[in-house]
Amino acid sequence: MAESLELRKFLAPEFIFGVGARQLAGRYARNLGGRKILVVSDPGVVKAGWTKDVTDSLEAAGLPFVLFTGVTPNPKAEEVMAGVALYRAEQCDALVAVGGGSPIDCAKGIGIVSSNRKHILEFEGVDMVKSPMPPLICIPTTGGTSADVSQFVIISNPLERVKIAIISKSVVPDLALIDPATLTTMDPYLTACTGLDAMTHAIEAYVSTARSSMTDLHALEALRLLSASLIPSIRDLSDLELRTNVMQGSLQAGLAFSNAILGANHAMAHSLGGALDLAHGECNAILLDHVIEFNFASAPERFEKIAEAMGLKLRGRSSAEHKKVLLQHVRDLKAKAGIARTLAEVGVGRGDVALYSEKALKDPCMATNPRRASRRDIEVVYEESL
Amino acid sequence: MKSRSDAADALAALQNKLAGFGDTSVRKTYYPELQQRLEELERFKAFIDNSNDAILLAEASTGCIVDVNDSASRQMGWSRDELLERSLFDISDLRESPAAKTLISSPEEGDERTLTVTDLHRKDGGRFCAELTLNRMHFRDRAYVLAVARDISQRRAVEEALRESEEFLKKIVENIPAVVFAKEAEDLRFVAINKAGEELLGFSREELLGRNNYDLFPEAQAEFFTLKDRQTLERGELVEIPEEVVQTKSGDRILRTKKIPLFDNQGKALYLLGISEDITERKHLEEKLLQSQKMEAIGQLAGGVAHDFNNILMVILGYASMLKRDAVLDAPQMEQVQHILDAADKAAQLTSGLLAFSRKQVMKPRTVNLNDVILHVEKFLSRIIGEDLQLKSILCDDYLFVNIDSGQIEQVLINLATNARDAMPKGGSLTIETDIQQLDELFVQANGFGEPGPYAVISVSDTGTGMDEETRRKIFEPFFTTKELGKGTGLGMSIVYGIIKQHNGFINVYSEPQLGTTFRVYLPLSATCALADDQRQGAAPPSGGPETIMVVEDESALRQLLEKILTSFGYRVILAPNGREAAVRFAAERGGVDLILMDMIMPGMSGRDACNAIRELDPGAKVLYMSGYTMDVIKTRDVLEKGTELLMKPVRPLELLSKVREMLDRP
Repeated sequence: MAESLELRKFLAPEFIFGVGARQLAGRYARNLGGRKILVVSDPGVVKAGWTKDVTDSLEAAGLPFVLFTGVTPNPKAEEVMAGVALYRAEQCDALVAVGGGSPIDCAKGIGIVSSNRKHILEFEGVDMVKSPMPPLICIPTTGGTSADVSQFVIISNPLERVKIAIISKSVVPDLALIDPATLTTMDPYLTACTGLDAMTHAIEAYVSTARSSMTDLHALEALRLLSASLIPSIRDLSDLELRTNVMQGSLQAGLAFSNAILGANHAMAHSLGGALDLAHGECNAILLDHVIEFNFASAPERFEKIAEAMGLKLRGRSSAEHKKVLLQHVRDLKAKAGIARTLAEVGVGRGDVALYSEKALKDPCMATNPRRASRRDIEVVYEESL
Repeated sequence: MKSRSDAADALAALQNKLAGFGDTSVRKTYYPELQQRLEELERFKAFIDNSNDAILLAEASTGCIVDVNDSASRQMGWSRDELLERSLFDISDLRESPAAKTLISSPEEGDERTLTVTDLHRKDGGRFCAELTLNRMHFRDRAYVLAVARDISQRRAVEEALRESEEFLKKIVENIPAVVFAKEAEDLRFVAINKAGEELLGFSREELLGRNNYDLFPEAQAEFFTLKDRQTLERGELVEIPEEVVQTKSGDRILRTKKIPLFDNQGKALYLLGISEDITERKHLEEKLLQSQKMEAIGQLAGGVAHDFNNILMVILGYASMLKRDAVLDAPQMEQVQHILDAADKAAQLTSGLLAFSRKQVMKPRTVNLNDVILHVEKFLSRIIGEDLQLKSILCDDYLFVNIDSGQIEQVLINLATNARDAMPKGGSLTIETDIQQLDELFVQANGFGEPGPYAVISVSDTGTGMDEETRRKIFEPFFTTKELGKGTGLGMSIVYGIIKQHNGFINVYSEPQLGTTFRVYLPLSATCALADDQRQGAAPPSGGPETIMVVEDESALRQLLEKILTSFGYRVILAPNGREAAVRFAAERGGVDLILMDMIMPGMSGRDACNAIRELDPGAKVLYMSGYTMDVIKTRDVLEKGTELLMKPVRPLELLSKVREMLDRP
């Protein structure tokens, strides 16, 4: 692809990055015309105290609110619809999401349905959201899914045991308040999962067929930041500087993948996550090295750049060696992060692989994978991950 | 130092804002405005939905409905979506209203708004009547029609009920069997009249409404009515008028009227309401009753006096007779006694007449020939009427056998002669005729008196001053007299009446002022009279015919009677109230008149002159004269022209019809 001849769009929301950003929730909720706010969060975040900071801010701005916390990790369709019912019953006119990907995606779902008046599952696909949703402010507390800046919404359909992807520019929030302080309450497992998810975002965005110079900038910088700070941040959970770097890395990874889209890794991770209800980050991590291996040959120079960004020295080695070095690094990273389980260890059997492969093929993310994959190819990757 | 920190603060604030941290720094702020608009819109929709009227918005040209309020949906039974699939024409009868059709279908023509009443169709097939306002409107370069429909079925029902109630009330007033009318208080013009009123006055509603008393009635009557109207309105309460006379097309009628003012809410009199009852017949009956009661009373008085008087006379007569038989008296004294006897006799006759009048007299009836009675009294009559008057008697050839008290009948003739003499102060003639007449049912019906049967008729006619209608009516009333005080008792004619009544006879008066009077006395022919039987067997009823007869008679009741008699026998009748009209109508008919029945005495052109006028148009015209006046008979008998005949009044229908037939049958 000759980049210069092709058109690329770059969309980012208005965002404020920095410690204390979460306290601006009230101001911006008012500025966006909100008069009754639905605050979407989950019990964990509430327990950590971040939700209260946000609602205090709303109160200070004189805005009445209603709290919805019926959200589980991997937000489900019926949770979205319940949130919609509450939104309508309370006659809310704005949304504030506080938490990780789940509350944020749930809030996005509530917004979509309340404006478009159909069941959330009917919006699966690209550009399916016709009417813009009510004002949405996202305050992420993980580093992260970057749902606070992306055009993606991932909703689980437990009946079919799949995750559906809703991709639309109108899903990008109005405002993201990215406060690194909120990361300080994450435990090691959560830090690892969300951090690895961010790294996967960066990697896939960099090798995506829809990448652009803008997204490349962000993707590489995200990789540098995350490579330097993620593992240390797991070791020292309360180091704000480390957390800030991770948050920044997550933000940039989010900007990159929101616009460059993803690849096979996420397609396959969505497939697993819908069935197993496993943390999204862990799904990605389990598959990461195997997918890199699968894709390497289709964009070797890209992967080399990735390796360099991750701090690997490739000078003087052969191409084949580059691949080996990168794969090993990733495996080490996984181990250091504490995410070392195989697919088999999380309950996937050989017999399930065919089904997962079929679902992964249908995921939109597969469309921008550097290498075209057949069903058999995917099955092989799953098998290798077992 | 202060200003420096101020400046520093200001700079910092600016930098803050530039960095995007100003209080209101946010990329897009249309949400508040949108929200407000949305809220206003939703409130607007809510209040539109809550309207009682059905409100619909439709596309111009097609009339397809694009929006409706809740009321529209609710009232018509269609859901919102169902209505959006239809056009205004689909759910109503608007197609039948040209103004509505133009307004909707032709956006360039016609009025911008219109009000129409039409039926709206419900989903369940029902309909209701609605008042619809249609307005053209534009919104963002598109043309629409706004329709607001109000259910007026209730209003209609109320209107209908009101109209029915009004109809009912109107019907009541219209059919009240008394005259009901209303006038407006200002000029007293008629504003309402019912059927009975129209019939009585002889005017149609259109002729009456808008006119006042002076337009409709003679001045004197109008003045009286107006006076009473004003009185009623001023007093503000019911005014009762026991009797008033009103001129109508069928003559004068007597009404008993009540007038009541009608007020508005402020107590101002707006109208006058009147109710009148026609009491003419009743009044006549009352008069007759009064009359007969008077007669009865007088009769009793007279009878009483006469009875006592008779007894006294007996004494006088007795002693006078005794003196006459006494041979001692000489001739001159005998003559004096004779005078006493004669005078007493006359007195006895008078009292017997009075008793007859009071029907107390013992009659001594015998069957005699009436002609003989007349011959017998002729001499006496000549002496009564004096030298200036001529007496003639024309007696019929037949024997007129009647069962009478001759003395009383003579009394009748004497009284009639006296009356005639008093009517001819400057001289004249008195004629007595006798005849036989058969009175039939028709005669009785036509003339209002009599009983069917054969009668001997005595006619006593004079050429005196005659009597007017009023005098004629009162002639037989006791103590009624036209003479000066002291001259005459006014009892003469009452005695005549009484005597005739006792004989089961009838008496009839015919008179024309300035010409004379004829009295006709009908006495029943004796049953033993052979002639009576002959008469009774009489001729077969005459036949009628299809010919045209013109009846010329000034007295309207008689005119109508003649018409009735003739038309009932199949003749076509043309009426003329006087001679001049007769000539005009005769000319207009152009030879279509076969016979003219003409009254001799009429105001204006007399029968004679009319006949001459007609003869000029048609020398061969057949004329049958009528007269109740026997003097005429005499005159005209002498110079009766060819083709003319004379018929006596009172009219005997059968005689009239056979005479008519006879004349028509002549060549």
